[in-house]
Amino acid sequence: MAGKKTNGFTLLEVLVVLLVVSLVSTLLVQGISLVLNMRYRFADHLHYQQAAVLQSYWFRQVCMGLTPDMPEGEGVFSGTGRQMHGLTLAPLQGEVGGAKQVDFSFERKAAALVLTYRQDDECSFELVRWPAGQGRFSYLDSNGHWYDQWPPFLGNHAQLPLAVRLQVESGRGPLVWLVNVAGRRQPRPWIKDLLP
Amino acid sequence: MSFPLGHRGFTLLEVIVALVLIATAGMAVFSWINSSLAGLNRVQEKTKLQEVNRSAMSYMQTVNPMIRPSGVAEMGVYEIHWQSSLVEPPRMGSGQLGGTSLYELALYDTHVQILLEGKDVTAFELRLVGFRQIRQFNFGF
Repeated sequence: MAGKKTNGFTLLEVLVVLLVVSLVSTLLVQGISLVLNMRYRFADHLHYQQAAVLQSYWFRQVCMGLTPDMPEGEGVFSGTGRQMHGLTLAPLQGEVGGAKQVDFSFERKAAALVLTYRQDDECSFELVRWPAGQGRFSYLDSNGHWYDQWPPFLGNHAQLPLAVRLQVESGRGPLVWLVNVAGRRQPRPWIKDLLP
Repeated sequence: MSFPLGHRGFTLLEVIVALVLIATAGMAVFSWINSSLAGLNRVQEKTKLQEVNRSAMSYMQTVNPMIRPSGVAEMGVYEIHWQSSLVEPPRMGSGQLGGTSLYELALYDTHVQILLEGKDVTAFELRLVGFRQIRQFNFGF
């Protein structure tokens, strides 16, 4: 009897083995799906991260290069929560240093929220696209107050705000880009303005 | 026991030991996957922080530490707290051609802390120049 038992499995043994095999294979299949999912997330994140760094850099570059126009010029800075318009020395197309009129605006295309860049009516492109969400600009004055529009209703302010802030609430979480205006904020005065 | 090697069946114990080994190896693989996932989350977290740091840095460029040595500012959902201490006491700036300037200047070390919903997110040190106009321009004619 003992010799017969070592020659093969009993039904009970086979059942136990099948049970354990099924447990292990279930775990492995779950593992594979986990790995695939992770691969997808990595690829997505890698793509998103590269794009996000560039997009943020483009926005920062243009806003940092904002420069005042002559008081009656067309490039005088103005902004609302949805849109801003100004003159910049660092446009995205053309040579850096050549002043161009640029325009950032939030637009809604289907369900998506799109940040659009326009330059001198020469070109216009989508800078960022969020799957859905809310976005707005705000502007900082010298006293540390944020305004939803520039120039603000009241008070005597420089032509350019001290800093520009972009806020987006989307499925990817809250996003804040804050950029200080690097150069002068008022046009260079004429000598006739200084003399009494 | 008289079967030649290779024709002998496994005992239940051997099979179970083998399966336990496979399961242990599987567990090791899963823990590795888990650590990769944690790594991915940390990368995402750091990317976000980098963006926040850049914005905070940009905001600090607008702060004159001689006028506002410490303060709080809101930056969207985040809050910036800063505290600066004097490194180099105020002295006269020099103007063009070595003349005196209208401003006095001082150097400050600033500790910047960023909070999200009251919780510390990140912090960094920054050296800033503070300035104040102490003379008026005089035409002299």
